[in-house]
Amino acid sequence: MMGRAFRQGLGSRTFVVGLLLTALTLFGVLAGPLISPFSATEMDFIAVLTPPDMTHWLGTDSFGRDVLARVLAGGRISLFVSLCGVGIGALLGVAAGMSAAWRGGLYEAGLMAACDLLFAFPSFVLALFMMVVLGFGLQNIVIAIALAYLPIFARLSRNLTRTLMHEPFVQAARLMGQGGARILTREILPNIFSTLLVQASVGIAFGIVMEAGLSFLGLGVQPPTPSLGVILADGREYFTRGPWVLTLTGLVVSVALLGFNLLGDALRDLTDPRLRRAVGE
Amino acid sequence: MSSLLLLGLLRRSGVALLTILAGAMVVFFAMKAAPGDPALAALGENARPELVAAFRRLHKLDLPAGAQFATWITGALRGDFGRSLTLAGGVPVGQLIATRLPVTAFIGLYALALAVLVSLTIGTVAALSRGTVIDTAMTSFAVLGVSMPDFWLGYVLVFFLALNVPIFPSYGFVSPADSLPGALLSGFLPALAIAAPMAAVFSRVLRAALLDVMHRPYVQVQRSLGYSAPFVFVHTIFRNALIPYVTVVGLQVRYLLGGVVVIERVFGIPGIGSLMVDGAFGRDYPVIQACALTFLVIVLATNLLVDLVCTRLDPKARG
Amino acid sequence: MTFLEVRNLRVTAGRLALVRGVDLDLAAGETLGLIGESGSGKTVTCLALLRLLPEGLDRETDVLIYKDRDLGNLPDREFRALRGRELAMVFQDPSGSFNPAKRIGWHLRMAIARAGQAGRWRERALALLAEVGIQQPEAVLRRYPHQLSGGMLQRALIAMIVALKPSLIVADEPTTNLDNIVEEQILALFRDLQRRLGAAFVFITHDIGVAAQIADRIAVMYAGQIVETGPAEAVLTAPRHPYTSGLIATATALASRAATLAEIPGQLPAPDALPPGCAFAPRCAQMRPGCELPQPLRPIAPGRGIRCLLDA
Repeated sequence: MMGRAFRQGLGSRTFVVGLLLTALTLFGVLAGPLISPFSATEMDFIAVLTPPDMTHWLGTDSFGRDVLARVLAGGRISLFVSLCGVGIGALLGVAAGMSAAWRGGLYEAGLMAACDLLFAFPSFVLALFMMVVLGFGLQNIVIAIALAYLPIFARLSRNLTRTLMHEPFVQAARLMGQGGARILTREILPNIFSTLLVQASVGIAFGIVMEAGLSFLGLGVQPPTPSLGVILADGREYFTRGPWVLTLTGLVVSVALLGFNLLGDALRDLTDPRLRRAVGE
Repeated sequence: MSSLLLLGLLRRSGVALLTILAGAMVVFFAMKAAPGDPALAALGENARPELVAAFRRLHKLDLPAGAQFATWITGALRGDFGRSLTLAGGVPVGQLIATRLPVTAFIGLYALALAVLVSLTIGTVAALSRGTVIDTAMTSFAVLGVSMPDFWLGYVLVFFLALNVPIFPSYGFVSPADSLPGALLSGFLPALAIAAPMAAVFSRVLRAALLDVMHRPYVQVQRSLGYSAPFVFVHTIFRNALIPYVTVVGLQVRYLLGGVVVIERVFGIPGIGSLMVDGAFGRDYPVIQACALTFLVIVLATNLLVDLVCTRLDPKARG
Repeated sequence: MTFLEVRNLRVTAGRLALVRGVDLDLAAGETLGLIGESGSGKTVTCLALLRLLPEGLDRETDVLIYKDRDLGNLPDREFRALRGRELAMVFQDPSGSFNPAKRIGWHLRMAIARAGQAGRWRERALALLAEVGIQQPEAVLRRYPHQLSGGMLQRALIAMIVALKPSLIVADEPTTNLDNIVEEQILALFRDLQRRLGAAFVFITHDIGVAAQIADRIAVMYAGQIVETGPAEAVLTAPRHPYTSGLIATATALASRAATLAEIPGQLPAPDALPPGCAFAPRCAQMRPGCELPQPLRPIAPGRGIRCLLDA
């Protein structure tokens, strides 16, 4: 199914552009040292706050550090944080949601109430709050992001599982004596996976923005560890003297997020059951 | 309003109140679990024991946790959230909230209004000119809007608009009570920064909803009866597309409140958001708690309101 | 006066030909039963007539005359003025035909306003609902579409049409989605309408029994073309086209619960896989050399035609 969807996707402009941008982003982030000869932390006081030129594509910051190198390194960290956060949130949320749908009763009601409570706080406010409770720093941002996404994944997977639970193929598996956990993972999960994946792609993009926001405020990743938010915060300090740091960093982030969003969009369109039927699968 | 609707509203209000209570508990006890002693944090590690004890008594930190919660929550109902640990020598938090809430409300509503206005235009134009260059351009703008960190957008706006074209101030806030035009001008850039991602989401939802309704059979029926295109659009297509649109607008309030927090910092706006950030840095627990609770109440109140509006709009939701 | 004359109506979707040269003649107050399997092009033909085709479909006619007026080249804006007041359509699914956000009262009020009688609409609406056999019109006016049954909705829709008093009404399988008892009632309503409004009807159906009850003339469609046409009684008692015979045999078998179902073997060809010549030939028991050539609609008697080389 994924193979066919992929080939279909190549026909969609959104998918191709999204895939290209995302691939570019991932390449840049993972192969950072290969792209930029500069270090993200090495300071060069001769070349302080130089505008973008042929040596420093994105210029340098107030410590003479190459901005591109910092962005690539920071991107790695921000992406890592977001991936881990969304990943954990998804794992726990899906486990909770699916089991809630399966067990039903008070367990389901209680779990959904807890998720609703979590969800009643604005995500960023919740994350901010968690940073105070847990302390600032990279690890805790991951936990904060996970908590923000847990209810979304829980509700989504619970709704999807509820619908599929009554399908014949599930009843058949039950009759054959398969246990709940097996049915959930073997039968139901593969069916809802693509929807969850789309939600995850949206979440990762937002997670990066959340991390950036928290670190920008100073509550997230602490300097000197470069994360996108930290770089943006730096850029803010000398914005009038060297606007390119903030502007270009944000631009790079936006392009990367654009790639994620386009890809997520295209994935959603491709895996939409209504559209699939229309194409005649 | 029918009695059935009233009953539903009461039930939902009840659930909301319970949620607020549960949320308050979570907020309070989570704060208690935070590392560090608030008294020492405020007064310094080497403060004299008598001062520390007095501080504790003043902020009721010497009582058991449950009693502290009870005091806090009962006080909250009266608007008394305790006193700030760090700000201005123990100013009552309730006072802080009272002065700052209208500011946040103003910026928030301003942003929402901008987002709705922009999205109504873009979404409608995109749906009506579906498949053309205009549609692609609008949809691209929409995706772009969601991809930009809003505080970054705020700065870019400041750079290109405020610093070069001196209409919009780059910092600070003018209260509408003092000067409405001043408030609208000073609030424009921050509101715009928050509104852009929301406008993007709203536009896409509206466009999708309009296109979905346009292909429904009852639209064809109305055309067959010879009703004019504008009539069909307003009363049927747009009217039915409003239901999912308003639902999404309601859902985005959570995002709106999150965006407000950062933007208030960027633009130096004295609202609840910047209060919470200041409190976070200063480990000012009463402030943080009160802010978190305030945000919770706003979200739940908005949810109720949106529910009400949606029920009004969608006959099927009335049961 | 020429009430309705259509010559060579064609509808294409890209390279696919959905309607391949349909001719229609209708006299004022006459009911034409348009019969055929789903996919034969009956609905598309009528949508084309009323210029209600969805995007992506193109229509062309050689001749389109309505009440002695040439409508072929009429600008869309002027054509819209005709819809509702002169030409109306009743669609298959009554529950999908109403704006779900508005009450029935609103629907009737808009129809009455369109008919030019905006003031005192309430009395008129109540009278109309009573005319179509709705028992508690005041209550129904306040209801939303999702609160009413299919039968009630279809009646309300008919009430709206009556308000407009069109001269030509296309009814696209208006009873197919309703259960039998209700179907009978709605058909009776249509017959009543025929009498009172004096309007001409094009009644689309795949059910020969229904056509028998309501049509003055019958046209049988297959794969985008009309294959037999004539007065209802003549076509039903003495069908000349093998497809028509097959349809009648199936219907008779069903009605009399025969032991074996007389079925027409095979399936309607898809628009992109049309055989050359007679489209029915692959399924026809009487296929012979010559059927692979395109067959014109041949008049065999006044007002009677078949598209077949039998009886040539």
